[in-house]
Amino acid sequence: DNINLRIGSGHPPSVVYAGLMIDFFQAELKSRVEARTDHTINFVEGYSGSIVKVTEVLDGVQDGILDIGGMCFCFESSNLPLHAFQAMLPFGPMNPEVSLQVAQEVYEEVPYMNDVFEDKFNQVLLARIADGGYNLGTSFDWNNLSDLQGQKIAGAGLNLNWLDYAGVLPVQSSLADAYSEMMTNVYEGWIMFPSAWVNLKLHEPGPFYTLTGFGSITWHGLTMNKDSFEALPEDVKPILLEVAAEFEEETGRKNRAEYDRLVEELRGMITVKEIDPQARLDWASALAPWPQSQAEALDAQGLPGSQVLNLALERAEAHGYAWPVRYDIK
Amino acid sequence: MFDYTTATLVITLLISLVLLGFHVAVALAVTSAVGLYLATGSLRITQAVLASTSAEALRSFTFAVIPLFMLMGEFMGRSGVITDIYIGINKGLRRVPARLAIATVLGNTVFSFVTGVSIASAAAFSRIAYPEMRAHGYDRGFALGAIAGSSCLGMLIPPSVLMIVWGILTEQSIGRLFLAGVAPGVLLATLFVIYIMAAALLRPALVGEGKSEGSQSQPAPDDPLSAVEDTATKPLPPMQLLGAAVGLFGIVASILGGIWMGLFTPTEGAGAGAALALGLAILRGMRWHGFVAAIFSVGRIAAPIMILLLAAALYSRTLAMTGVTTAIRETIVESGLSPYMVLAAIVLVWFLLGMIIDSISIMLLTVPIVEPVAMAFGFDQLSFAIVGIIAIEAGLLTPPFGLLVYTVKAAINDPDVGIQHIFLASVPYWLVMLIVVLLLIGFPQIANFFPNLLM
Amino acid sequence: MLLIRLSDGLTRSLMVLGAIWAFALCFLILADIIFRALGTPLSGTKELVANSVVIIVFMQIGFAVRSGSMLRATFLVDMLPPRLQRLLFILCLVAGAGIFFFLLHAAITPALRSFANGEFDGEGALRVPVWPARFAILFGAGLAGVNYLILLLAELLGLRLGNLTLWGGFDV
Ligand code: NA
Ligand code: NA
Repeated sequence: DNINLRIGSGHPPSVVYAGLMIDFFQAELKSRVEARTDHTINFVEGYSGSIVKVTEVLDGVQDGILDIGGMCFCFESSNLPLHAFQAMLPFGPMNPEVSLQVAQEVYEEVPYMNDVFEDKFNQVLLARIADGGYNLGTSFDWNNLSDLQGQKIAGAGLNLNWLDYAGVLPVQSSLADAYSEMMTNVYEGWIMFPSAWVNLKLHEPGPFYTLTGFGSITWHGLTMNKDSFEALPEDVKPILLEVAAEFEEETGRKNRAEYDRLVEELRGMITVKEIDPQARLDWASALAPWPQSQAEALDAQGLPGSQVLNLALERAEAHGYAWPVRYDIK
Repeated sequence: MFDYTTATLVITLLISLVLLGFHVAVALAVTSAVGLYLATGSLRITQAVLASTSAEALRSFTFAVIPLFMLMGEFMGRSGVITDIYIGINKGLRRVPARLAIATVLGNTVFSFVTGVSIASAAAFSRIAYPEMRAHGYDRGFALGAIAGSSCLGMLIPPSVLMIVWGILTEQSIGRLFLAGVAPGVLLATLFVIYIMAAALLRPALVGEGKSEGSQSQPAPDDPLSAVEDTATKPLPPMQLLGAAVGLFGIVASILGGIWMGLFTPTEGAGAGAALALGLAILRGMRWHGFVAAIFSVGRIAAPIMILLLAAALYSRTLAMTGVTTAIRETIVESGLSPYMVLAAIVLVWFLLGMIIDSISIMLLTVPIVEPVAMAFGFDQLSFAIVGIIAIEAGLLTPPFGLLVYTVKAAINDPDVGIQHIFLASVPYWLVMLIVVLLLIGFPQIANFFPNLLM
Repeated sequence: MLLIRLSDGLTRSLMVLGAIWAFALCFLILADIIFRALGTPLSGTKELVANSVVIIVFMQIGFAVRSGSMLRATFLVDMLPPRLQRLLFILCLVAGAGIFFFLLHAAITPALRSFANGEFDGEGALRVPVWPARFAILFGAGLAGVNYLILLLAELLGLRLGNLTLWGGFDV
């Protein structure tokens, strides 16, 4: 039998995880199903938002518009606020593989993290996806936190808070406008991973890339409509879950390798430097009260906010990570 | 493998409905609903796509600039600045053959810097320039061709709704796209002027010269146009012209300057521009009635365009969900065609589509498919965008669905002129646009010059 | 007839309200620019504007239908015999009514879901609720459908509908 699956994402294939959805997930699933069962798989692709925009993937998979969708939880702050937990703990592990392990362990221990997809959004969480680590690129050189006071720096969503607490003026923006807005000084910097600094040519208006180490955040996910999943032949289901689990690991590996490669590439073009340890400490100290306020807000919604944030802090430590400031969450 | 039956149906049904005179937005939506149902086999999913697209397709800050730039153009038009500048150019060109047509092109070039939609230019100049060209014995078709043809500049010179949509679809900087259009826009205006002068020299009758004395000096007594005065002889106080020029260029300069100094983003420039143009219009005597008429008129013109955008987004999602989009892309990439043949095929498709649907819908339907193909073949991204915008814009002049031609026809209110006359007269402008397309393909530097210089 | 007049009144008012709203957006954007330049950026402007776009379009959709501003190509139809032209136009109106009532029906569940989940746009101080835009779709689609029905009724019964002018005779 031929199985038709609509798969897609709001992101273009040039984004690591979306590219891997095509080159790894789709390719492996197709060949393994054909090798091991009597079925064949045909994918109808909808990347770059051609079927759903980045903000409507969760709803789209829930309604069956897509059978399988890749999404960022960062666009689901009303539906999945807790799933951005690592963004509430800035200056965490920069290694995407460690970030992924922390997330895997938190999801393991807190059933809500997985179950909410089935219970509330009619879908199955197939894989979690870690991003490359966040740093700060700027148009000017800086050393201390005081050099950043009052400067306008762009971010999106939750990470605007990282700026706000440090006394930086946060400006909400989006990747598509980043180049021209940096160029025309609408703002002087962006919280951004190296891939965007290279691929979107942000190194032209922003020749200073400081490895601040805000952390790698596991807040993308690959999900499948529950009805579509259940409709799959019994011998295909385990293969799909197996490929999804490998895809999850693969995104961690690829994002880590890409991060290293791109930082090297940036070193060849512009000034790339480590953040001054004191500046990092000052920034983390300024942010110290924020995770607590986030935990309280989540708890107030009836979500296990404090539990998840505390777990994430502990698990990172268990993997040998030393927080610059140990956030204290009650 | 993908379902050829569904794909063929989704494309032929749309074309049939549009040809049969259905509202284009309705044709797009109905076809989408049918296609979605055939592709998914589920009424529930069909409904979900309709609802989700309605909520999300337009929910973007960027789309707000469409009505805002229209508002700016509307206030500008009502401030009388454009008329004054047209008269000024007209006076300045006194000894030049075909000066009224040339003034139309130059006036349009200036107006293009403050309006983001060609329709606004076409409507404005139909009212300002047509009666006067007729009074001077210009050939009807020639006069209207100049108006319709040169209003295409509105989309090429920033601000431009087409560039905004292109930038959204391809996730590239709208500011850079805006700058990329300036040099090709000026080039196009220059070629238009050269064509007009050449035509006037070769066939003076087109511009009402060289006919027997009587035919021009004694128009039929029942011709209402004979009453139109020659604005070149109309008194225009230097201070009034100066005021108009300072007002218009002041607004253009403050928008560009504001963007350049980082006061606001290119997209926010629309909001600032509309507010500034309002101030100028009030200073120059626009009163309550004109103000209310301006904001209502934007609502009336913008809403159908936005609905069309929405319906086209729905149709483009339908194409993706039926797998047509992927199939076309793969066919092109694997066809073994040379890059220039692929480009020629793309441009041809744009011209052909331009004959039946409007430019924004064409963009939504084709750009997500052809842009990655063109990039895969190594074309320069900015010049490809400008080539696309000119090629699609040329479609506004081609029958049967030439939006600009219909606008001109509606605005002149002259029953003696048929749609076909305007289409015919637009052909030379259409060809000039093709020449600029070829120049851009040969010399991508033309589009890249200003973006590289300024950003 | 009373119903038609009632619907026309509603259609006209929503058009006017939408036009004023769109006009107000330029001052919101201007305020955002000024406050950012002064070092106190307003939050939520972009989200507010984005959601306004959807609401304004669906407020004005009824007027676009009723005033005959929906774009169509008539070059081929013009060559057909008048009876066939009329038949095609009636089919177009039926399709218009059908598709908008279908959208109305389709939009109910997502609107209720969005309201129940308290869906919002943006982060931080100003969270812009999304459900008003969802309900605007419901309302706008319904009104567009009703206006198609009015045009259809007029066409079938040969009624002469008055022109839909705006306030104080502003026929723009
Ligand atoms: Na323009
Ligand atoms: Na056309």
